[in-house]
This record gives sequence, structure tokens and C-alpha cells, in this order.
Amino acid sequence: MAKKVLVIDDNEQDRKIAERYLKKSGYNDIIMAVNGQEGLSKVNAENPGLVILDTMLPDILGFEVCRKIKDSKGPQAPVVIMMTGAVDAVDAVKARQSGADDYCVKTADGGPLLAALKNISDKDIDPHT
Amino acid sequence: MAQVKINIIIAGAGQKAKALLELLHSHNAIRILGVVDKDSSAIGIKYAQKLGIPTASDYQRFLSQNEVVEIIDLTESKDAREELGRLSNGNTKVIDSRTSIMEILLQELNNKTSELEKIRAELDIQSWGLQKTNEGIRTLYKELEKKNEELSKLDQLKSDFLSTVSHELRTPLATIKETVSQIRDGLLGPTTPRQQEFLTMCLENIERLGRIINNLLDLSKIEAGKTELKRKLTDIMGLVKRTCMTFSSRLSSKGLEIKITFPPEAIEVYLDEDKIIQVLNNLIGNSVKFTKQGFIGISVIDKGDFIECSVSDTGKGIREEDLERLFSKFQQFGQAVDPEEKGTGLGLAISKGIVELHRGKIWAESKLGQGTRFIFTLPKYNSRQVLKERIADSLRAGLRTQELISVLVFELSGFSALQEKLGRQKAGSFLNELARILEEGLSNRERIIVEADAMFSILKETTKAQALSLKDRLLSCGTEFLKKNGLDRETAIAWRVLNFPEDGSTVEQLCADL
Repeated sequence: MAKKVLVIDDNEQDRKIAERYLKKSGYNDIIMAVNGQEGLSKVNAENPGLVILDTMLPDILGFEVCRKIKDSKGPQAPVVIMMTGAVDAVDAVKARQSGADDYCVKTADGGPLLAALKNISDKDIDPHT
Repeated sequence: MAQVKINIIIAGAGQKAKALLELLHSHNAIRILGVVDKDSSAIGIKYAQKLGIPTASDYQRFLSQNEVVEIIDLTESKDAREELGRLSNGNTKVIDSRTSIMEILLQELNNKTSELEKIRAELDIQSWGLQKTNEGIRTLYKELEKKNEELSKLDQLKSDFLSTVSHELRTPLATIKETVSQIRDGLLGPTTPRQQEFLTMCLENIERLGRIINNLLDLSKIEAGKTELKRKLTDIMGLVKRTCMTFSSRLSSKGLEIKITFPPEAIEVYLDEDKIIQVLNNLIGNSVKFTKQGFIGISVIDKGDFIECSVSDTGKGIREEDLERLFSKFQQFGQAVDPEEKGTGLGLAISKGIVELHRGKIWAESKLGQGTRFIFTLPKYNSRQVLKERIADSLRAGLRTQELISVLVFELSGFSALQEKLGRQKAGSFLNELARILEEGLSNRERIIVEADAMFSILKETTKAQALSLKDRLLSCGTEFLKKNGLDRETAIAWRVLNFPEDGSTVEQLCADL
């Protein structure tokens, strides 16, 4: 359970919401990145077991970031949950195609994120445990 | 696409050959050079010819020096087999099984399967995406619903607050007003003229505050949907005239004229008299307030389905950018100096609410410096629509307190023939008499309401079955009454029974059926 989590999101409010619900779900080691570039370098430097990734980043498309994470780390790649403010079927498919493990909508009560986190711990798809 | 991998000749042209041709002739990894059989009328030969595949009675013409040819042996004769055996060398291979073809087909199948798997994986992703999107939309929708609920609760809270506060304000205000006027009028001892002047100013403002509170109450009722219209068919021109009369002293003191334009024939509109008078008072009052000279024009125009009523003036006008905000709460554009004339900023918002409750529209046109025209419309209902509206109104009132309600509607067909025979007045009193007789069949608290050639009753706590049996009883009473008066040939009674919630869960649904 005690794996490191990286949140990649340019919106401060959204990062805070994610952090709150991650802590609620028992993740206490949380690091942040505000754009795709920073996110990718932190994935390499810090080896998080889980990445919460926004679909819309200021520099690189979230899907691109996801693919790079999955490609560079291979079977050791972290679990990636992609978050979006605008639900879109095309985006959901793109997320899956770029290797995301889950795709959910951002809400103030964090319900979908909590469900996704629970899903992960249920399935225990974390490659590091 | 697969390349041609093998050339084949089919030896023997029986049923088997035909089946093989069928299977292989369009396969792009196999080229059929020809079909060979001594019997030129064999079934396989015929089929090959149909497909445009060469046929012959011996192999030589199909054999080639630089290409490997496989001969599929389907012949069952020993001679042919020996001949084929001789042919089998370097470039020619005789096979009597379909091994190599099977291999190609198998390979092909594998390719197809992996392609299918790819497609299926792709489909899995698509359906995953759709499912996730679906979940997301559902979540957002739920969130929206929750927010909406919270908002309407807040709105309700606001309305409740407003009406409670307004109520609470009225009581102390009445006491203050009474006390101040007693002091001013010298009932509590002598006052100087200067004191009286101030007390008068005080009273004027108390009255203004009272007006504001009343308006706030009115508006909060309209906004909370608690305003019930007491509508009846009303002569609109009479109503306008009466309202104008109340302004005559103010008009003459300002030296203003009033010009009224009416259509030649009287128009009856289904409206709440008090409420429409409130609208007219407001519009005319505004015009008088902001017009220093010239005239106030009031007109009623018959537009077929609706009437258009307008109040225009030659006042200072309203700027175009202000027109939009005109009907919002607490918007005041002109400064009235006289406190008696100071408005509350709520009049037009209330007027808009009232007109819209009548399903009409209200708007303003203005040219700065030339004057303003306020126009509102009211739908004219025919007697059928009025009946529908009245039933809807009664139902709405009933549904607030009741879970179970039935409506009984009776209608006299051929009422116009009856009117001709008896005369308008007599026909009308005949209808009322019929209503009275029907009402006798109802319990004490229920009434029959007559509207033109129809009548209806709202029956509380009544199931559809109960209403239907009541209808039967009333119908036979009514028909007997018609017979007794010798009118059963001209007219008959038609009926409808509607029940909430059986026939519809909203007033609109129920009445749509009428």
C-alpha cells in the first residue's frame, strides 16, 4: 500500500483535491508535477508506483505522457490513472490506447478517483508489490 | 494480400473436383491452371468452364518448364494414376492429398485470426472507453442533480425568508405609522409647524416603506409560485377604463391628457381582474410619473388569439441599454423628486410576473427624449380552453393537498342548437338548472362549475372507479332532465372522467387529454 504517488496536473485546485483523496485512501508519499515534462522526469527520478495524470497539460498531451511512461518503464511502469474535466469517449479510448489503467472524471467529491483507487488495491495491479 | 504460392491442375472432374473448384477458384494464393478429364461432359469440366478455368483431356498443355505445378489427383482409375506417376518429376508434383493447400489455408486462417484478435482488442478498448465515459457522464449528471437540488432549496429558503421578514416588518411599521400620525395631528400635545413638516416627511417615507414591503411580498409570492390567479372572463375595455378613472386627478394636476384607443367590439379575456389592474396601475403610474407634458396613450388591440394592451407616454424615455434590465428587481432609472412618487423598483418585476402567470408577454419600446411604450399581451381563450384552464387551476389547487383526485366533466353537445331554440338566456339558465340537479347528486362539499356549454366538478379522495359510478348516476339524472324538458333530441350529455394519479401525474398531462 505504501507506494509513492505522482500527481501530474497543472491546476492547483485539482492537485489538492487529488492529494486529499489519495491520503484518504492511505497514500501518504505524494509528489507533484505541474506539467508533462516535469512529470516525466519525476517518473524517472522518483520511481512512483502510481501516477495520477491529467489529460490536459500545458506542454505535452496527457496521452503522450502516459505512453512515454509506459514505454520507458516497460513491465516496471507505474499504474496510471488518467483524470479529466471533460468526459469524452474519444479521449477515454485514447487514454486506454496510450496504456492508462483507468480513466475517470474529476469531481469535487472525488468519488470517481476513490473508486479507481479502490479498484487498484482490489486488483492489486501494482507492479511494485 | 497473399501472393500466388502454388499452381495446380485438378485431375479428374467429378463431384469432388467441383467442390474443390468452388473452394479454391477465388483463393488468391492458388492458381488453377486447368481441369483435366477424358470425359468432356464431366460435371467438374462444366463447372470449370462456367468459372472460366481452362479444361482439357490431357496434362501436357498445362505443364510448364519453369514453374512448379502440383497435380491434385482426384481420378479413381488406375491408368490415370500411372500416367500421373510418370509426370511426377522436377517441376511437376503429383499429390493425392490436399496437404499443401491445407497448409496455405491454415496459414491464411492464422492471419485472419490474429487480425480478428487485433480488432477485438481494439473493440475492447473502445468499449472500455465508452464504459468509462458512461460512468463519468453519470457521475457528472448526479453531481449536477445534487447541485440543482441544493440551488432550489436555497431559492426556497430565500423566498421563505423574504416573505417571513416582510410579514414581520409590517407589524411594527403599522405601529410606527400610527404613532407618528398621532403626534403630527396633535393628539399627543401641540406641535410646531416645523415639527409637523418633518413628521409629514416621516409619514411619507413610512408609507413608501410599506409599499416596498407589500411589493416584496407580492414578488416573493410570484417567485415562489404561490400566486393563484382568480381568473374569469372579463371585459378588458371596462377594466382599462375603470383603472384610468383612478388616475384622473393626478393627470389633471399635472396637465396631462389621456388618449384611449379601443377596438369597436367588446373583448372578453380570461384574467384575474385584481392582478391585471395592478399591472395597469403600475404601467400608467410609471408613465404619469415620468411625463411632464403631453399625453398618456392607452390602447387595446385585438390580435386574434391574444389581445395587445399598451401604455405609452411622451416622457423622457429610457436608454436602449437600460431596456433589458427594466423588468429586473430593484432597477430604477428615473429619479422622482416627490417622495410620494418614489417607486420601489419592484413594480415592473411584479407586472412581468403577473403577465407571465397569465401566459402573456410584456416588453417596452422607447426613444430617449420622445417617450416610452409598454406593451403586454394576454391570450384570449375560447370557451373550450377556458374550461381546460379552469379545470387545470382547480386541479392545481386540489393537488397541493390531495393524493387522490378525480375530475368529472360533462358537456352538452348541440348546445348552439339549444341556444337557438330557447334563446341565449333561457339556454343559459337551463344549463345552470342542469348543473344544480347534478350537484344534488354530489356530496355537500363538492361543486359543479359551469363554463359555456360544459361543466365540471373536482372530486377529492375519489378513485376513478368511484368517479365512474358517480358519473353513471349523474348522467341518468341529467338525461332524464333533458327528456322531461323535451330537449333530448337536440342535445345529449357527453362526459369525461380523469383521475390523478391514474390518468396522469401532472396537471398538464391530465388536461392534455381533455
